Order: sequence, then C-alpha cells, then structure tokens
Amino acid sequence: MAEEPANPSAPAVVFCGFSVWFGEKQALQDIQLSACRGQRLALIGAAGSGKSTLLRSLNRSNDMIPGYRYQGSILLDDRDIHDPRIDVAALRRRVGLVGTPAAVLPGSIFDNVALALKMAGEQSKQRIFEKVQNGLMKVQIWDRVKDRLQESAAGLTTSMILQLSLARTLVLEPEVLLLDEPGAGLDHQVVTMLEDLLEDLKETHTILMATNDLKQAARASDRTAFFQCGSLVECGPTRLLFTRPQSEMTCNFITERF
Amino acid sequence: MSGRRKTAVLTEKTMEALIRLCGVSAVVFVFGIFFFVFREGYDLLPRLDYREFFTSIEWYPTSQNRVRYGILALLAGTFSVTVLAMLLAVPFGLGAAIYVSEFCPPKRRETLKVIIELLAAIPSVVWGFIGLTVMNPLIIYLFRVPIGLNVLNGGIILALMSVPIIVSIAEDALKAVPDTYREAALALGATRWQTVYRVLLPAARNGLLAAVLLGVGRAIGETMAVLMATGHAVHIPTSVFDSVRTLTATVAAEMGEAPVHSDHYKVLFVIGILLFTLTFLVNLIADLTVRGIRNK
Repeated sequence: MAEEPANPSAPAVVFCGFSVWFGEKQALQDIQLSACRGQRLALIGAAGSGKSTLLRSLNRSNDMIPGYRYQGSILLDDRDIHDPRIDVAALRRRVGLVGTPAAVLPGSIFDNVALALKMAGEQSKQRIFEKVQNGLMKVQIWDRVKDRLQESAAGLTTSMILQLSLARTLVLEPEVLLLDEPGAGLDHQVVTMLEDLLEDLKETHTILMATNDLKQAARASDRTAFFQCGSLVECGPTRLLFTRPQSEMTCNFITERF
Repeated sequence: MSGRRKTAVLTEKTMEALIRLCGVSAVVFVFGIFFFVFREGYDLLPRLDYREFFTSIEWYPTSQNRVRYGILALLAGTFSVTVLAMLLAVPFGLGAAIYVSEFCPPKRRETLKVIIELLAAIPSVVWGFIGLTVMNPLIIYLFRVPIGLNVLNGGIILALMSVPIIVSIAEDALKAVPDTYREAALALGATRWQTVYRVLLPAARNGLLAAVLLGVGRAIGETMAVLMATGHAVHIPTSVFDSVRTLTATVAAEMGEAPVHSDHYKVLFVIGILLFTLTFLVNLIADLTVRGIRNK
C-alpha cells in the first residue's frame, strides 16, 4: 500500500483501516485513505474492486444490506460516522450520494427535487420552489423542464434522470458529494456539464467519484486512488498516478485501458 | 420425421387452444353466473314495487296478510357491518403490510407471512363460530349490553377475515416497488418512515388500492360469518350494539325455505342481482380511480 502524501489542508474524510464484509465475502480490506475539501478524488479499478462499496459506506447506505459488517472507522470532520449518537438521516444529507442507475422517485419532476427538501423539514413553499429552481438550473435542465414541472418524472431520458437526481442531492447542500459512475451511458454534453459542475463545486465540497472511465478520471479529478480486489493499491495526484504509477498493478491497469 | 413434426405442431395447437379456453372461461363463468341469477329473478323484476323495495324496512316475505319486500334495513345492515369492518381492517391491514415488508427482520417476516396466510385459510363458518361463542359473551361482558350478536361483532369478525387478504396483497404491492426507490430516498436522508410515507406508499398506491377494495369485496360478499355473528334482526342500526341482518345472510337463510319459483324465491335472486351490481360498481369505481391516478 502506498503512503499518502502529506496534505496541507485538513482532510474532511478519512478512512482508518476500514474493512467491509458482505456475509463471508470481504469487499474492502484495511483501507487507509483521505479526501480533502477543494480536491476531487477519483476512484478507479475493475468492476467489483470495491469502489462503490467504499462510496456507499461513507453515507452508510450499506447498512441496509443483509450480512454487512465493517471494521475500522470512517471520520467525517474528525467524527466517526458509525458513532451510535450520530443521526444517520442527517449524515446522509451531509454526504450526498448520486448512484447509478440514477433513480426517479414517484411523482412529478418538481416533486422529485422538492421531496428531498420536504423530508429535510423545509416547509415554506416559496423557499422550496426557489431551491428546486436553483438546483435544476445548476444542473442545466431548468430550461428544458420548466414548462412541465408537474409531469411525471418517469418519462425522462437517462441523462435527464441523472441531472435530476444530482439536483435532488445538491438542493440539500451536502458537504461531501459521492458520485457512483457518473457518465455511464450518458450524452457527451451532460458528461461535460457534470465535469464542469464538479470543478465549480470542488472549492466548497469534498468530492469522491467512482468511475470506470479512465479518461474521465484523468480529466476530472485532482487525485486518483486505484483499487484492486477490495484493496487500495495506490493513491496520488492524478497526473502523477497516470504518468508515473508506483505500483506495477496500477501500471498494468492504466496502460491496458488508457 | 414429418410424422413427429406433425405431432409437435398438433401438440402446440392443442396446448394453445387449451390455454385460450382457460382464459376465456373466466369471462364465460362470470357471464354464466349473472345469466343464471338473472334468469331466476327476472320474472319478478317488472312486477316489483321498487319504491317499497328500496325504501321500506319491512321485510315480510311470508306474511299471510300482505307480503312486503323492503330491503332498506338489509342494505343498512350490509353497509354498517362492511363500513365498520373496513374502518378496522384497512389501518390494521396496511399497517401490518408496511411492517412485514419494510420494518421486519427477514426471519420474522417469513414466520409472520405463514401465520397471516394461515389466517386467510380459516373457513368462514369457523369465524362465525368464534363470533358466536367468543365475541358474543365478550361484548356482553365488556360493554354491558343485553346481546353481543350485533354490528360490532360482525364488523370485528369481518375485519379479521379481510385483514389477511389486505396484508398479503398490500405486501406484494410494496415489495414490487424497486429497491432503487428505497435507496434513493434513504440516500437523500429520509428516515425509514419518511421513505414509506413519501416514496413507497405513492409508488405502490395502485396495488394498495386493489388490496383495500378486495378487502371490501370480501366484506360485502361474506355470508356465513355475518349470518352467525350479527344477530339476524331486520332493523336499521342506530348504534354498533344493534343487531342487524345483511343481504347475503338473508339469501343464505331463506333460500332453503322459499318454495322454488315462488315470488319469495325470486326476490332472493333479485337481491343476488343487486349484490352482483354492487360488487360490479365497487370494482368499476376502483378501476376508474386507478386509471385516473395513472393518467395524472
């Protein structure tokens, strides 16, 4: 396992010897990793290497899966997210996860975004509307959906559903943004929009993105972590990792596919 | 070779015809039932005094002086018992379905489902017996009323009979909601109850409505248990402690004694037609509501 380079800004998310099992099968093995505000961290690796599991652990979405077990800890701003006193629902609002395939909730396009706010306890209709509008503008679909906000969201295209679910996450103003394979099967334009948006958001957010697209990782991240079979092989500045990987495994992975 | 192919084609054709027959038979049976019920009762339809039929509470089908066929009290009996049963069964049934499907640990879920299905398999005469021997003295004791065979008793028994149907269909409807909905809601910071209330119930509403209406159907159509548990008195109830008689119980109790093809016999079939129409209306309304929801 490669040593983490010392970082001047304090890490917002730290995995300390974090391991995960699903039943008997180990999915993550003793992960030491940190992510900072102002940096986009890309997670790369083959399918089943534990990228998604890592992301999902961070907002405790794995808790529902039967047979899930973990060891070690994850710190969010120096606080253990598995602390029994922590409010899991509040944690999930602080750590927004946009999954694949992005899911639509029942109801209209407007409801899809407004629901997140309502569940967070927002009551003012005026404020809900403003925030929904703002969120949909951020992901650049406001112009396309503003005339049909009351239509069912089920009829949207895959790209628009991803934008919608991103808006839904952003209106909650999370501190950490987790993206699980954004860009899989999407329009080129939407991917560009998404990557530009992440660039803008990184100043104020900690961003972790699992991706199968190495070009995307190279393009749209500041640091990259390479996973294999549930272990972290190497983590470093993206440019360095892609040009001078320290481990042979990383080298094989990126040269074969890059 | 060609002989074998011929057999294969023949088998294919036969199976197709058989399966089609099974599909069509459902329609045939429904029409058949309607036809036979109608045939027995239609003779009386033009002669029936409809004002008396629907507005009179006097049900004297075997009177020596003047027979009177007023079913208002019977309608009120059916209506009161059904409404009470639904008031009890719908919240309990949906609540149980939500618990079993969303909150229950997997092992307990299996046990609960088996028990609920067992509840659905109890014959209605056994329920009637429970109404007669358990609920009756219990109601007399608890509420200090002279008789325990009344709307309350029938309502509770019918509720107990409808709950398993509501639970198993509502549970299926909730289970059919894709897990991505649950995950998306939870990832947004929804609590488990918010997930159920804001996401799963709206997503499953068609199935839940179907569950409730099948429960209503069961309650309206049930005969034996209400015959035994409601006291069988032709009377418009003013409280849940009044005895009533339902449409179905009347048909069941009097059919054996009415001379075949007499007016009494025929009026019982007219009641059958009425029940048929009622359930048809309930289903139609349900269907239209579901469609309305879908188009919205």
